[in-house]
Amino acid sequence: MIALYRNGQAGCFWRKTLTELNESGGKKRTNIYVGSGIVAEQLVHQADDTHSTEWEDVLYKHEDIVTGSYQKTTADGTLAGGMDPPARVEFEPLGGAIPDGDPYIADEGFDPRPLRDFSFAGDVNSPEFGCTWDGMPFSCGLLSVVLHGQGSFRLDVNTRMSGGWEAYNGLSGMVSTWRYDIRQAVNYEDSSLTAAQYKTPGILKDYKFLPPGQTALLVGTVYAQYLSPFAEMVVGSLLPQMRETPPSIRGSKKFEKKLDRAKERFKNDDCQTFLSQLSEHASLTQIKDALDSHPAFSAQLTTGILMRESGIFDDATIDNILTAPDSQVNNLKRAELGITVAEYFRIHSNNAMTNMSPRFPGVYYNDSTYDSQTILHETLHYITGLSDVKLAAALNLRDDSGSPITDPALASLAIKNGIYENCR
Amino acid sequence: MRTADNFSISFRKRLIRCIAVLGFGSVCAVSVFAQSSRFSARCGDEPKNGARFKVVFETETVAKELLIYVVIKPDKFTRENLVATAARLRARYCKAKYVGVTFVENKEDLHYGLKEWVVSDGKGDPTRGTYLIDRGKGIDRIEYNTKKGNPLDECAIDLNVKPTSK
Repeated sequence: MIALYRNGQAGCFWRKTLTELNESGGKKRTNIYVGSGIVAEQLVHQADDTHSTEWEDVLYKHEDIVTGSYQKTTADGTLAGGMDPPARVEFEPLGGAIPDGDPYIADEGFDPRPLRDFSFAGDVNSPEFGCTWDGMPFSCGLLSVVLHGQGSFRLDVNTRMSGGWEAYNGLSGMVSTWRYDIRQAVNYEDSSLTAAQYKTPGILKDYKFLPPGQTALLVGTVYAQYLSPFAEMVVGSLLPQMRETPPSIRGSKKFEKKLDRAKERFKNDDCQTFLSQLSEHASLTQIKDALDSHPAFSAQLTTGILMRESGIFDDATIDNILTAPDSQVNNLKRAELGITVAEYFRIHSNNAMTNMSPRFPGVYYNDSTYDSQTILHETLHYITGLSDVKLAAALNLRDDSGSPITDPALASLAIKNGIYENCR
Repeated sequence: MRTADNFSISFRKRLIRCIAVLGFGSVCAVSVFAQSSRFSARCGDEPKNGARFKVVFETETVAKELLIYVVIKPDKFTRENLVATAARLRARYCKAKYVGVTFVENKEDLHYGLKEWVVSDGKGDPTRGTYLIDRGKGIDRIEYNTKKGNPLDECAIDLNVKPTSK
């Protein structure tokens, strides 16, 4: 833009702009002065939607000579709406222009609103005015990049900025409600973790790549919604119901010793042949890995977990027990769901029990009776998910008459003898 | 005249007597203590009815239901002994609102627990009977079988206690 100046030869003008030309030399604006003040300006506009060719307009300027604030009207007295230069300007004492628009954002979704809803200048594509990602300012233009990431994060959009609502509406179109699971490690055998850390719940991403043998239990959920755009994210959460976890015996001298012996048994050629019959349910590699990694709990020390929460029974079985017909024996059996694992083992002297609930995988060992055979035996249950009767059938174990074993106790005994015989 | 040796012998006798008394007292104390548990404390004397049974386990559910496991030898598994046993247990656990008793012939039969019951669908259950006291509902009932493996409610004895007021 070029400005023509007439130097004050007649004393009327002193370096005031008389006519502005556009880049091709055509007239853009001519100012009409009274004294040093502009009283009117002739504007030449480019063709637009309502004018097929270049068109002209004359605006009259009404100025407060003390503050400098002004507004312009057309020939018929209506307020002009030009923006370059602005048709209406109020100056604050230090000379800054105050926007004359209604500062209140009318399209906010909530009412009443605090002062923060008054608009400011700026642009959401400028990091300092736009969005934040976990508190870090960044351009809202990069929202889509962030949303391709995984895990939980917090996004804020400043809708007071130009383009803010557009960015927010685009965001809310992409993100509605996100759910995050809070998981608690069940047998996190990381020796660097303290007992307290072992029980600290974390967002799912922390346990996404659990190493073998490390099991996380779903204990709660967080729902994240991106509704209110400025510096807010509505978060609904089901508070994690921290669960008592059974004490792990992995790492204990006794267990490691018995486990080493179980591995020796497993390496035996006859044992490999014997267990290869389970190939339909688990490979030898899977069995070996399960030996190393299956969650192993102390039954005696599990004094804070009831049978119904222990994982020993799956949900369907518990339902069956709870809904069994009302009879004296059923009621007494049902009541046993309400005793602790430690008490159950004390009364029934079980050697070990493998959990049937997929939500809580692992094996409870009777500290005083388990041996290397027990570990291998329970590992087979753990990795195949088979009961004693089905496991015995899969291992081709038969009773004396050559028939499949249908009694669970006899099937368990047959598996035990099979392991002793083949896995020396 | 007392000599050092006499004194020594006398002192030794008194010491032995004292130890014997203390030892007997301890045995008595232990025996008396063994009669009660935290579940049966503050109850009066049990009727001397000649019941032959042995409480092998006591436990409590999270709902404060008392579960008792009792061994009664096969030859003592009679209606009379069951009733007498029930009377003793009723008196022993006088404070419990709910007492569930499981009768077996020997401790080894308790290997068959809830897990086995579920897996085998109740088959092979060596339990010989149950006794339920529910003082809230006024239930006082023995159910038992005449032979291991028979239905557990093959026989029933309703001792019919009236409901207690709350």
